[in-house]
Parts: sequence; structure tokens; C-alpha cells
Amino acid sequence: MTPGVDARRTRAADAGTWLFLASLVMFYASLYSGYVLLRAGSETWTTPWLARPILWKIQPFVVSNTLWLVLAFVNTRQWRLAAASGAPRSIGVWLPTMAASGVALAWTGAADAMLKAGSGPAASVAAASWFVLTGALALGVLGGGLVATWWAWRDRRSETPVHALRQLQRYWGLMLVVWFSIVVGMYFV
Amino acid sequence: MTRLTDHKTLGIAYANTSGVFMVVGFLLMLLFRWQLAWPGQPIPIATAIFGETNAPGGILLPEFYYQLVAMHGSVMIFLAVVPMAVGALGSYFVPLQIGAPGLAFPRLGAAGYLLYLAAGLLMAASFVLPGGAANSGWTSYPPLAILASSGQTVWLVGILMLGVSSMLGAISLLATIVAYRAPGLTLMRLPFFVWSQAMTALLLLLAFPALQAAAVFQLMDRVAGTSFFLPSGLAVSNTPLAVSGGGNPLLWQHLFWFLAHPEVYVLILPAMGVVAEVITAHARRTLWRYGLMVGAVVALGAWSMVVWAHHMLLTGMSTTLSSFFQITTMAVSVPSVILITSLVVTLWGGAIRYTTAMCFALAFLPMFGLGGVTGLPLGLGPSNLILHDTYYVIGHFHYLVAPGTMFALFAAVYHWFPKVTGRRLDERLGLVHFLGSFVTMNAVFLPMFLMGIMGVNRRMYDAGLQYQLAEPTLVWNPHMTWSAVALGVFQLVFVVNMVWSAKRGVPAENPWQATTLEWATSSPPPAGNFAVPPVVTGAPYRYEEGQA
Repeated sequence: MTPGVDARRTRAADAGTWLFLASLVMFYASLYSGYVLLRAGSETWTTPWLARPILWKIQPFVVSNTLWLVLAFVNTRQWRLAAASGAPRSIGVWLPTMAASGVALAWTGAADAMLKAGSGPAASVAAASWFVLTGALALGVLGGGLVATWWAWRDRRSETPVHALRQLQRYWGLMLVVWFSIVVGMYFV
Repeated sequence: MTRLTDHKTLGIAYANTSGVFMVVGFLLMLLFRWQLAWPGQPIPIATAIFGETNAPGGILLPEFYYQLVAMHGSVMIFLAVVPMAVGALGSYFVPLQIGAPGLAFPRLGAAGYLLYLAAGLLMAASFVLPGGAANSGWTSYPPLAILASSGQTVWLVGILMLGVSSMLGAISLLATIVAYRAPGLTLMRLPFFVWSQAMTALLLLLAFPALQAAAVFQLMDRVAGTSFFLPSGLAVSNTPLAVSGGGNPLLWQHLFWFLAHPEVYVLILPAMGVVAEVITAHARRTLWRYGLMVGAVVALGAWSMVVWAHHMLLTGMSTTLSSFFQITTMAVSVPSVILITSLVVTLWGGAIRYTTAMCFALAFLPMFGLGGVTGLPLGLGPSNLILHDTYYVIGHFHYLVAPGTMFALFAAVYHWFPKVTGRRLDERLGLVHFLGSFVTMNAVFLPMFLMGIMGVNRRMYDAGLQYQLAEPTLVWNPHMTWSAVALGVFQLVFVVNMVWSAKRGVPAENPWQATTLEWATSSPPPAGNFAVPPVVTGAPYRYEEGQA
């Protein structure tokens, strides 16, 4: 492969990632704007949701989700820096995979708690919004986890290019932003 | 999958598949136009084809009629015209026009096509489900859509798949334009068609997610019992619905039109691009004010994302919001007028060759103009109050999409057929196709403006038989239906021409002496497109420099 072709591919991958992220932003923003519109238009949905007892039951989900996502972001950054310097990769490259699994598991646990408390999706628009917003995020995180797993597997021979890891890091950054938006908009406002 | 990774094979696959869906959408239209022309009269052999449940004694039931209407719109927009304009033309010609050996992400492009095919088959197969296909219109407004039969669920899944397909295709196309342009091909040297495709892809990428989000909400309402779009206290046939309520049906309309209005530009922008290519090559003229046109197409794409709520002027929105959307709607016509004006002025002083491609391109200009101008009264609250939900609306958007975009697509086929096959389409058959299509299309859609102004509602199963105001218009419906049949017959001429010409047409490498890059390689192009990677040294249209 000539250097010119390689540079083209990197440029295309960069552009493709930004476009993909832009599309994801629009998707999550649309879901989120639906939540905002419903909540703003509701006369019975004025109490901060944080005050509801069920929210306290799923606090571990909020905390663990945040930690896992920060971990995935930071670790992918370290992974990229190691790849850039040619340093040998460690078991740490598997951490994004673990983080994604952690988020999925935490979400399952929280959803289970919601269902047991009688706050399933059909109970209210508030509960339905929680399921859709956090569920869409969990799917996004799972998708990122699958890509990270694939690349970690390839990386046993240090094959994952630096620009690919930079793109993965951007993806985790977006997931973090989406998650913080959900936490702020749904739990604290 | 392997062969689909070649952009030319991919483009042809899109063209063939969307062509089949176009025929399906057309046949659905013929069926419900029969009902409109002769309400309650049996259609021969309808029972044998659609069964007693849909057409007892050959008479279409209202439930089935609404399935035909909803699926006609969905199939034509999502499965036929957009994939033809973007998937087929974009995949095939954009890499050629920028001097690239292929798409940047060929597997993404192929995956996008396979998802589109699967979604299309799924949506088409929903006719055999109990309760039939989706029947809440292509707009799928709740609460009606949430209470509809299981075909609506399939429609929503199809839309989600089409959204992913659009995203994959758009990423592949845009990344190709960004990274795979030939040396020397700066942004301001790109053929206008490439600009139009880039803006279209960007619109699909940014607007479709809103409909996907809406589809997720509606799917949840249908399968998980949520109430995103169901208000409290909703009752059907005096029976309160057993749902929590608290939702808002207008949320769907906001999210839907956030996609569906830019979708109109997704249909129009590639058409503008095609017409620009055809007019420059067949009038031997450089595009007039190329830079201005590029600015206009970018502005049109961007502006199209802030006009969506003009579809909702009668939903009780505040005066401030309504005024905002009325102003943005009027303003969006400015770049449209710039584009049309530039195309018309390009003709000035040209050595016009009245080929079939040119005839279709020239016909596009007034047809699109008529569609655009008739949209202005719909974008203003007071006139919208009168015209909303009437046949006027149907006439308006069909002039944009049918004689508008479709004529541009026909122009593209006649112009680029030699590039794809190495042979020209027969011009005599082409002229018959053009004249027949021009007359019959107008005969179908022009009366709709009058029907709308007279107040005939667009959604009536019996064409307004029960209403005095519709009575004078009833006699027009048979003529419109026969015109639609004749339109179909003229398309048969087109199909015969393509099949015959692909084998026996006059061999041609560059019959139009066009100067854009796709003609700088052999016809059809070889694998890898160019034997020697091209280097660009000037503007795409050089018809007045003696270089053609």
C-alpha cells in the first residue's frame, strides 16, 4: 500500500467517524428532545424525579454507569497513547469491553428494579422515558463494547491503528456526554 | 456482497431494486385511483388477487384502500425515488465524477443496500399479515397509527432499518467525496451533481435520526404499552383506552416532519444536480454562476432543517412559533429560485440539442417551478387554513416529486445510459416516452389543484361522493385515472427502449461530448474506473473553451 493510499484511508475513516458521531448526536438529541417536550408539557410531572423512592433504588446504576463509562474513555485514551508510542499493550485493552458489559449489566439490574417496583415502561411517561433513554444509551455502549472487543482481539499482535483508537475514544466521549445529559436532565432538573 | 462492494454494481443494484419498487408503488396507485374514479365499482379479478377480506366481490374495502394509499406513499418515497436518486445515481456516478477508484467504505455501502432491500421486502410483505399493511398514511400520525393493525409495527421496523441503511450509504458517499477526490479536484471544481449529492447525503445523515427516534417511541407505544404519543383520557368508540396516558401526539409530528421536510429536499437536490449536468452538456454552456449555485444548494439543505413545522400550522402552535416557521418557509424559496434561475440562464446563448435527456431536463424546470410556487400558499397560515388536507396538497408535492424529480431521473437515465452500457437509448422511443409522460403526468396532477381549491379532502375513500362541494369534481376522476393508466403505458415504452438499447443500441463512448470526469474513462468504466488516475486542472464544465 502506498503512503498516499494510506493517508486517504485515514482521512476517509476520520471523516466517516465524525459523520457517524453527528448522526448519533442527532438520534440521541431527538430522543432527548422528546423527553424534554413531554416533560415540559406535562402538568403532573413537575416533581423532580429524584424525589421518587424508586430513584433511590437505582442509584447504584447511576454511579456504576458513570464509573464504567469514564473508565472506558480513559482506558481507550491510554490504549491509543500506548499504540502511538509503540509500547506493548497490556490486559488494559480489554477494559472498554468490560466497561460496556458493566453498563449493560447495571442497566439490566436497574431495569429489573424498576419493573419490580411497578415502574415498568407502561406505568407512566416518566418511566417510559427512563427505559427508552437509558436503554438506547446501553445499546450504544454495547455497540462500542463490541467494536472494542474486536479491536482488542486484533491488538494481540499490536495491529489496531492509532487513528482507529482515536475514533473509538471519540465514541466513548460521546457516550459520556449522552449519559451526563440523561443524568442531569432526568435526575437533577 | 463481494460484487456489491464495487460502486458500479451497487449503483445498478439500487437502480434495479428501486425500479421494481417504483412499479409496485405505481400499481398500488392505479388500484386506489380505480376506486376514486368509480367508487364502489368492482375491479375485475380483484377478489382473486387480494382475497375476500380485502376486496369482496371485487370492491376495495375502505381498510384496504387506506393500506394502498399509505403504502403507495411509503414505497414511492422511502423505497423508490430516494434510493434511485441517491443510492443508484450517487453510488454509481459520484466516484466517477471525482476521479475515485471506488467508494471509501465499499462494505458499508453494500451493507446499506442489503438493509434497504430487507426493509423493502419486509414492508411489502406486510400486506399478507392479519389486518394487512400499514394504513395510517405515509405520515403515520398517532394516535391512529398506534391503534392500527400489525402492519404498522412492520412499517416502523422497516423505517428503522432504512434509517440505518441511509446512514451507512451517506457516510460512505460523503467520506468518498472528502478523501478520494482526484488530485487538483478542489471543492470549487466539483461537478454540481456531486455537490447536490453531498448535501443530500448530509440531510439524510442528520435528519433521518429524528424519524428513527420517533419510530422507537411509536414502537414502544405499540408493543410495550407506553404512552409517548397517547394523551390522557383517550377513548376509542366511547371506550377509554387502558393506557397511562400523559403523552403528546404532536411530538410525533415534530419528529416526523424534522425528517420528512428535508426528505423533500433529499428528493429535489439530486434532481437539481442531474438537470445541471444535462443542461450544461446538451446546451454546450458552462453553468451560470457556479459559485452562487453551490452556495444556494448548501443554503437550501441547511435551511430545509428549520422549516418543518409549517406542516403543523393548524395544530394550535403559538403565533410567535407560527410566524417563525412561516418566515423560514418563505425564505427557503430564495435559494430554490437562485438554482432555477441559474439553470435557466445557463441556457441563454447555448447551442441547445433537443435530445430526450434535454427534453426531460427542460420539462423539469417549469414542473418544479409549479410545485414550488404552489407550496407558498401552504406555508402561510391563512391560506393553509383553507388548503390544508385537500387535494391541493397532493397536487403540490406530486409536482415536486413526480414531474419534478421523476423527470430529472429520466433525464439522468437518458444522459448516462451510454456511460453504463456503452450504448445509447433510442431517441425516437425516448421522444414518445417524454411527450407521453409530460402530457399524462399533467393530466393526472393538474386537476388536483382545482379540486383542492374547491375544498375536496384528500383522504376520502369515495372521492367525496357524499359531499356537495366535491360533486363537480367527480367527473374528473375517471379522466385522471385513465391518464394514470396511459402514463403507465408510456413507461412500458421506456422499459422496452432500455432492454432493446442495452443489446442493440448505437454504441457510444461519450455521445454528448461532456467534459466531466466520468466521461474521461471508457464506457462502461473498467474495474477501478480509470486506467490512469486522472489529474484535474480546471473547472468541470468547459464547453466554451473549445475543449469539448
